[in-house]
Amino acid sequence: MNIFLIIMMGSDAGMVARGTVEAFIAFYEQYLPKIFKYISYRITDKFQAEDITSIIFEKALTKFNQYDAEKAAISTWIFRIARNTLIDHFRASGRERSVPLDNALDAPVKDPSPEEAAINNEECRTLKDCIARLSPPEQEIVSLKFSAEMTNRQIAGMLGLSESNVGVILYRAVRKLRKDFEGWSHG
Amino acid sequence: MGREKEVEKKFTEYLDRILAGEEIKADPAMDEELRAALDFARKVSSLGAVPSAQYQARLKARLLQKLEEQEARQKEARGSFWEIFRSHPVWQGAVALLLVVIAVTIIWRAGFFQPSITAPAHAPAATTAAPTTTAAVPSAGTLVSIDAKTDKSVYQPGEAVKIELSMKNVSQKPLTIEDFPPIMSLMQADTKQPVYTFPAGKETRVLASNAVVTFTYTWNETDFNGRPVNGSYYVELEDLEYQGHPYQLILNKPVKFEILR
Repeated sequence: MNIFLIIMMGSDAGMVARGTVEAFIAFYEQYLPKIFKYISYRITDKFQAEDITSIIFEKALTKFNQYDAEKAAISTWIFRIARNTLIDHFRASGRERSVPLDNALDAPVKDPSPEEAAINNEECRTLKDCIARLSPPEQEIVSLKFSAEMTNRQIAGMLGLSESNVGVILYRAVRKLRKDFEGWSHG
Repeated sequence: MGREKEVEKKFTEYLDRILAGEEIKADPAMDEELRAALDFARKVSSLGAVPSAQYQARLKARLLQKLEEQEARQKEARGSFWEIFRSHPVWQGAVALLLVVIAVTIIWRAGFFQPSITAPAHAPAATTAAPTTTAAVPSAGTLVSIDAKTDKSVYQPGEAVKIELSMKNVSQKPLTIEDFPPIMSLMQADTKQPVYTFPAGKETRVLASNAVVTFTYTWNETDFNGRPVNGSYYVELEDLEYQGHPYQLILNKPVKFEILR
């Protein structure tokens, strides 16, 4: 069933318009942080990540009333849009990864001291760099797992892999990241 | 290999719990490699980027503006359609005509307009002249196939003559026969004039495709005036009415009988 119909059943036309706005705001507030996080795992430039996130939500806006809850969960739907947008971005920019190191992402710390903030920024930058060195499928699975917090089954459904395959790739990617990250930190 | 798989499975289980916000207690029995991977997974999770408040507010405002424009465009499109419809009688007429066509089609398909044949309103036929048929009227035998038989071929004076009529719907559609049984005339073989006519019945019979309906007429061997008759006779059926046109009821085989003097 269409998402608007679920929300708007029994409403008049004026309420439909207002309900659409409310539904979209709720959707935006729930998924913006996750989508931005997902993009940031793959695009280290903060402004580029913001631009791509904006494009994703503009696409979602135009397709919002076509969303069919019977076909896919809304998280799967929005992450599919995000993934396709990212693929388009990589295709257009002619490369698989984007690793500018001069624009570190904001690390999510609460009222950090300047010293803590610096450490966090440094760690964050290093981690992004390590992720960028993973293979594209590993990057994809790590970013979906840690941003969308999807189960392995959901990721498998989205990427066309088996659930056990996702589990294996994920575990190995995290081990690889850890070793790479420790090498940088201690190097 | 089996241990590796077990560790991978455990990693997924613990990671899902960590991402769900659950605190995983330290287990001394936990595999060292697994513990290290989970600790690192916690770090990866905590270092995820968050959009700035300014960016969130800016994007939200832009999306809401677009959403309102989108809604307004849709409303305008709906409004302009109704405006055109309201101000143009031609459009109103066209839509009304379309609705009538759709309604008639639905009713037709539902079978309300089954072909129906009925006895003509006029008096029983006095002649055997074949009526003129038009191209729109099905020719005899295409809707119903008719057979009749008498219980005997020769009758004694005063004996009841039983004539059994059977009508079969040979069309592909259900057929409604009104005023059943149809008008039947008993014709004198020499003069080819009717001596007696059975009037049309009052029943309505609906015949499915290939269904058969029967009726037995009983004649007491008297003419229109009630006088006993004898000689050779044959049977004729009066035409029925089909969609405002006569439809000939022709027997597949002639039915003849004799009444002795």
